[in-house]
Amino acid sequence: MKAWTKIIALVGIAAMLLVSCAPTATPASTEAVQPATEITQPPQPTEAPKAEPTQPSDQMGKVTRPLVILASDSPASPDPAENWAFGGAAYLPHVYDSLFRFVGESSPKLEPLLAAEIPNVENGGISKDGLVYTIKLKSNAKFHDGSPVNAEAVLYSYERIKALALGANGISADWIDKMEKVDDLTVRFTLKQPFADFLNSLGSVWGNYIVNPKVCKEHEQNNDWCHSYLMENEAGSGPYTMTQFDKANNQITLERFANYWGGWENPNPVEKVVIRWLAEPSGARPLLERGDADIAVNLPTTDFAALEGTAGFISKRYPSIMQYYLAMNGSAKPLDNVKVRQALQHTLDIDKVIQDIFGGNLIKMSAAVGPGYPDVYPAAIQYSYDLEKAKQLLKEAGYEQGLELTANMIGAMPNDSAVLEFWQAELAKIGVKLNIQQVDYGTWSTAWFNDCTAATAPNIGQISALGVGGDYPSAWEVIAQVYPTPRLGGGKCSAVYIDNPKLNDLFNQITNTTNAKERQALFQELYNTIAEDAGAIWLGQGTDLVTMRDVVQGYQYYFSMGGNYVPLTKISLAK
Amino acid sequence: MRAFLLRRLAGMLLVWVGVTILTFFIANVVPSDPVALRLGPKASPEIIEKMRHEFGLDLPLHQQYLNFLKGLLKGDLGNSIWSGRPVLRDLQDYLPATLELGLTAFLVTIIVGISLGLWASTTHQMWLDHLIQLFATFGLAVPLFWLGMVLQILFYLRLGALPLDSRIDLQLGPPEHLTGLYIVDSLLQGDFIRLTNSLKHLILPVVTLSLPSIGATARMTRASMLEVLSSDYIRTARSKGASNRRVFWRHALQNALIPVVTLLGNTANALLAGTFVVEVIFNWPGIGWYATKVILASDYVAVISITLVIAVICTTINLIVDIFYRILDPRIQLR
Repeated sequence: MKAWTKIIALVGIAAMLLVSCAPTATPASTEAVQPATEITQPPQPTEAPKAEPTQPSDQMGKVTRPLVILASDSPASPDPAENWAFGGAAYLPHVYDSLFRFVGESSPKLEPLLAAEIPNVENGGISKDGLVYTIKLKSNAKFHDGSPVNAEAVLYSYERIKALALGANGISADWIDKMEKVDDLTVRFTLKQPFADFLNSLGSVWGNYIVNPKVCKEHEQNNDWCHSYLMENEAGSGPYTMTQFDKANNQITLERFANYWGGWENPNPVEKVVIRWLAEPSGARPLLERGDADIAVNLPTTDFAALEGTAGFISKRYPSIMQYYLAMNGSAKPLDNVKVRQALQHTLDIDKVIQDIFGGNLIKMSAAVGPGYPDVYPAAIQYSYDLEKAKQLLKEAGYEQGLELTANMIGAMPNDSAVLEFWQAELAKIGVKLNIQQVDYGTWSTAWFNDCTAATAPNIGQISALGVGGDYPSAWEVIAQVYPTPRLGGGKCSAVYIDNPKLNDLFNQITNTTNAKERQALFQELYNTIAEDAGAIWLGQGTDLVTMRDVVQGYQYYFSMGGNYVPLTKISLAK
Repeated sequence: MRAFLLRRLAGMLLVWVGVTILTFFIANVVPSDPVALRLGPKASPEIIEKMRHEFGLDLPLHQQYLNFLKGLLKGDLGNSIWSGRPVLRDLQDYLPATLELGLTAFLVTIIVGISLGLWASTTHQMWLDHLIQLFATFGLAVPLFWLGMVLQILFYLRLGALPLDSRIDLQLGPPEHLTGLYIVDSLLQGDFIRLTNSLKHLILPVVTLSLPSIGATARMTRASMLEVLSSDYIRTARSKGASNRRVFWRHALQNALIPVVTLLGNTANALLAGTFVVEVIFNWPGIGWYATKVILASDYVAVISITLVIAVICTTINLIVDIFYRILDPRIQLR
């Protein structure tokens, strides 16, 4: 008996020795790791145990590891012509450049990036009828292989986006009817119809990046516009190069491009960056605490609160591009009755929801779009929490005896179950029974994304807990996603399906109007109309929670790109 | 034996076809459009329809299924709508991670589970026996996701002894791809740094995944050994003067292991199922992790392929178990 117990013990000891006495995990070769910015062992949080040197060290004992970012929303694709998910903002803007981009933590402003200036009617960049945009390019911009970023590259990129038609084309490219090269550094876009938001749409982080036509043409397969190649490689001109898109491990590795055409103002930039998407978000906090990650976006709220105020960490809340709604589908009874919808508006105490359920991490909305967006003006009608008024309105609508409704949880809003259960209890007080059901997001969004008619609109469900973020900071764009508005390329379904010609008319006018004063008046009327229609309960504008170790310096939040975007050119790691 | 194998292989083939039929039609019952999900809210109906046509999703269901089978016969599992790549390519990336995790957990289960069971049987009703039984019951009762997280907090956050997740340190990167199994590839390349690093990364997920199986195996081994040790032929052997060691190792062990082998067959399948949870907790880029992604994306082409791969693995394990019966007990006839 002793013999086999000894054997087991020996095997166990040998295995433990093999693992625990192993050399420290240092790079085996120079190819494996590009020497990163040298930083000393980061200070550990007060209560967290001291990290074992699992991080690679050089001979001087200094930590040589990349900046590690834990992003929240998953990436859809590394091909800029395809990506339309928020997670794409984590890497695309570092690898590729667009003609324009939005900057600013709030009230974002459009600025030229590859473009030499912002075109307008005065400088001849926009025709008076709003159909022709002439865009001049900077002369010094270069791709990573040294090829110039010129008119040919811009035209190729937009032709590519339109030809591939992988979703991101709907943001700006589809509005373009004709593209032409004026000269080597000037392009001209002629639109299908006047679109006042066109320049803004060119600043979106999706569907606007300029790819290197030379690289693309070299790697084309079966006329795929190098889509297969860009699923694992890059062809950009940005300040970082993508050295690895590791879909299997859910991470992307970027390395600094020292010859970036825009230059490097930061004297101590980060050389190597790893962006990770964790399958289980609860793993993010331990990684931060042990110093194996530097920045985490949207930690679970309890983890964020735990690290907020802890030594060694910086925790910030920023108004995000997301807003949350309880969208009421007016395509079928009883929600086709405006009085019912208005009654329901009075049944939810929004202040209580924001404080008690969202812990104050929502910003109250006074119009259909969050206050962080431009062109937002308080609607004339504001619904207050008033159950008596709700009962009165239901009586006027013919539902004095109460009614039964169903709400969908589709996983598109944090705390959706808590909000709906709270609302359920409130509604019960006035005789309205609210059934809450979990609906697979795929099923729900199929009904939403596909074209639909009044007959098929009820497939979306009566009430949906919805989260919507603008593809760029534009109130027009948010409204287009939530409310039943006319869309380029045909009608699409809307979670708020209400047939209101006035809303359509106002929306169309805003689409075409460039005059700021006229737009303000039109927006004001649009917000009033939407409020009167009462199609959605506005819960509030979201907040991005950013937690970073205090070795990270130079962080700035960009409203238009959300928390997943970290401005790498500005970031340094403290020694 | 040959007839047995042929019969079993034919049966397995039927099971595989059955699995594809069931999965295909169940996946298509869900009113979710993978193309609309991939293209997002900005895609026009025409573009959605164009891509549906490219993937053959506009064909009648039976035609889609036949096309899938035709591709399968040519070794083509179709294209994943979620990843935009051939499913076979995805499986080449994800399957090795699961195999490495699953096989290591299986090996640990066999070594630790059987050893503990045998140890408990030799210390029947003593404190060590009770301790092992307590451990086995704990292993069976504890939920995988809870155990994984507790181990992460203890060994990564508090002690800093083991990595939290993934297959290898970020700074190292994977070894050169030969088999996709990091341990094997590192060994083949003589890269002991990556070998030890990937072993370190394996410890927590393997412990989490194998603990319930260790518990079940230990209990079964103990019970089976105790039963065999009290049987007549063992008493006869003892009366003929055989030593305790000889009785234990030569006479009892082989017979006691027959029910344990049956259990190990089921255990292998359970380990495969457990990877779905463990891979998510430990960010382990295996087939379970991949499956959760493609299921959420309604990418049924990939879902069917994963189900088929799992069915192939499970049925093959069952076949191996049956063959092992014969090896362990020549009295068993394979028909």
